[in-house]
Amino acid sequence: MILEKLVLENFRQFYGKQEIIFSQHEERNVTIIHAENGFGKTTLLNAFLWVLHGKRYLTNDFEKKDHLINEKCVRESNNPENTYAEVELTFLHGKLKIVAKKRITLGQQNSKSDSNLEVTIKNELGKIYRPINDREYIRSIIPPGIANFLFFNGENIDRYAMEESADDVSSAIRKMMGLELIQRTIDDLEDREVRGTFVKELRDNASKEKTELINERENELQNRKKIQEDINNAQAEIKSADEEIRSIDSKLEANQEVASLQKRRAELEAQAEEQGKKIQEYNAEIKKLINEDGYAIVGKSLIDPSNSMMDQWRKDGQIPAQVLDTFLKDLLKAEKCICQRDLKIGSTFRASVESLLQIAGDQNFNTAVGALDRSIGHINGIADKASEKLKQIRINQATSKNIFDRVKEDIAEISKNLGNKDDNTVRELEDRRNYLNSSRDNILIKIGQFKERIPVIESRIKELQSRIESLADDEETTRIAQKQLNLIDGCIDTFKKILAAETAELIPALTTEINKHLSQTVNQRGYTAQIDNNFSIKVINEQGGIVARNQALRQTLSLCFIGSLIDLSKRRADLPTIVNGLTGTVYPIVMDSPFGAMDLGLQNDIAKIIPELANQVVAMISSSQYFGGVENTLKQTKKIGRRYYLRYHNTSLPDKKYNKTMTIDGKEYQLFQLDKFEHTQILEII
Amino acid sequence: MPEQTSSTKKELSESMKIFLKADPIIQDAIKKCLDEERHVMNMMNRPEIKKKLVQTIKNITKKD
Repeated sequence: MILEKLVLENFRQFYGKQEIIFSQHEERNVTIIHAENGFGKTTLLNAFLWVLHGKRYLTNDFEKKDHLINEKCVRESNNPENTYAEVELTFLHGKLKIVAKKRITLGQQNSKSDSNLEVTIKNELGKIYRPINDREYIRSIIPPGIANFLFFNGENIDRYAMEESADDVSSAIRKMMGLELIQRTIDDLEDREVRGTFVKELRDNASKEKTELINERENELQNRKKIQEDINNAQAEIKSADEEIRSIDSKLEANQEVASLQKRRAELEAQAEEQGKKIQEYNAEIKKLINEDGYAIVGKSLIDPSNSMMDQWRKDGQIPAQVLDTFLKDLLKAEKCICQRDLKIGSTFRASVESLLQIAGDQNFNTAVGALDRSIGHINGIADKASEKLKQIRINQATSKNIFDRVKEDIAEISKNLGNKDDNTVRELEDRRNYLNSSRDNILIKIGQFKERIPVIESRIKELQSRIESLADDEETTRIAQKQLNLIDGCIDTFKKILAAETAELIPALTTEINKHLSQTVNQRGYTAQIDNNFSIKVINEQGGIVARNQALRQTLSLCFIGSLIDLSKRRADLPTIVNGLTGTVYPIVMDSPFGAMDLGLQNDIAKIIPELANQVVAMISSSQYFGGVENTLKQTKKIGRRYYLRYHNTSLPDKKYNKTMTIDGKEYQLFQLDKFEHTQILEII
Repeated sequence: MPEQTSSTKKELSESMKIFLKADPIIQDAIKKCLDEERHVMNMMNRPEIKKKLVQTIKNITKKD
């Protein structure tokens, strides 16, 4: 996907018809759009998302989602059907030129309905045609799950480096790497019209007993599906709460009076997250230790009495046996003692030797005593070592727990402080934040309860399955129906394992790519990224310790992650898959405020790698983020192909905090203009 | 049988091992279902796919 042109017509503050042509130059691959805050950067970003995927996928910070038509047009409208907003995106996909156009009329806007997408395709021979299904066609090129990774606001992007985004990340990886085909196949095979057909056939032909078992199994399968849906919904609620909390945090940080408190809270929350993770890791270590060596610790109390008993026997000379029975038997057989006395039957000496047989042991007895000694010693050794290790882990765990509790107390104190501020807005934001956090905790508990039920249901399904299989089918039709169902279940099961394996196999390649990008940004700090099987990213310092990730580091990681994913999808054909013919796909990146919460040093580091993140990069940057280090760094890359700026028109000039002009390469550009009505103009810098 | 792509041909990938360990009839079904899905994805005619998958499974069990 290579972006060619974006045309806006009466879309929010963009009055009339205006366009941006993106740089498609291989070397100068960056298009910069300069815009002050509030001029329309977020609107531009959302124009992409709206035309591709509609209202549902607009970003959370895009307010008044139901008012897309320019206000002046709405005010002056005589006919709701002739008043509209339109976005047209032209892009190349392989050898095809695609135009996606979406229009919303005032009538549709008033009835809160979404508009229709219209797609036209021009092939390499110049033939123009329409796809069978416009929406599906666009989704096959750029699925909604990855659009948010490619068209994003840099200030909110840090979430991709957070654990709760692991599902989104893994889904995006699957989509971008073509594994969606496997997921679609699984979904279709599990569908009521596919698997359900075979279940019905079996039900219709099986014995009463088998039918009952099948019904029960299908019910349990439905239960499992329902629980998974409940988990997904709960996770979506958490995601939405997190996004709102982040937005509240940004607002608090922008408020000068409470900015330092909010900043301190963000640091403390990062510390709490780190300590929380450590506590979990210690729990896992304890579990592992108990699994592997727990028998020795528990067994020690059982072994100790036996050990004392053995010691006593040893003291009494009962073990090991002082004399071997084989030796005595040989003497009795030869009827001669080693002292040369006769041991004839009936003699007193023979009776004495015979009495020794009662305390004599055989060689096996002595070997067993030796083995028992060694085993007891071995178990005691393991028990001592494991106890010592357990003690150490518990000390570490307690230390982390103490820090965690202390940090949580400090966070609560800050929250109390913010909640008592005179400023109404701050108080309201803090109240809302507290409410969201408490709902979030309740939802997490619910998720935990749902997750606990899954293994119980799965074990019941397994049991029912084996009972179903154990019942012989009398009729040929039943046998065939059973065979078909077994085949489809076998396929679904294997597909799921393959999908998990292929997703996991991408982790090493992704880690290498992320570290390649990361080394260019925070190399001086010697950080490396590690991705675990849940796609959660850890940053490790040179000493091997986990680095607490603040918002800026998470933003950096997320950018590196997106760039890495785009790199991997480009060279898809070189990575292992069982799916034939997966070719590489090129994706662009469109970023609103790419430097988010980064400090100046980090902004420079990121500016260096921005052109490398994708074949085509569109960056919308405000003056405060651009002028200074970023300007020079980006200039040095010689990658800027096209440049635009947004000019804000209004009946009065805005307050002093904005720059009225902007100077690029010695030329001054006017950012504000007095006009008869409020709107934004897109102008190219040539 | 699906193929692995260039750079990993020497060593089997984990997913390929899973595929090869599966019953040959499952391997056959997996390959055919994937082909059907890919074909339908390119043609953008998704409602037909479910019928085709049912037929694919039926044909394979009939043959078996």
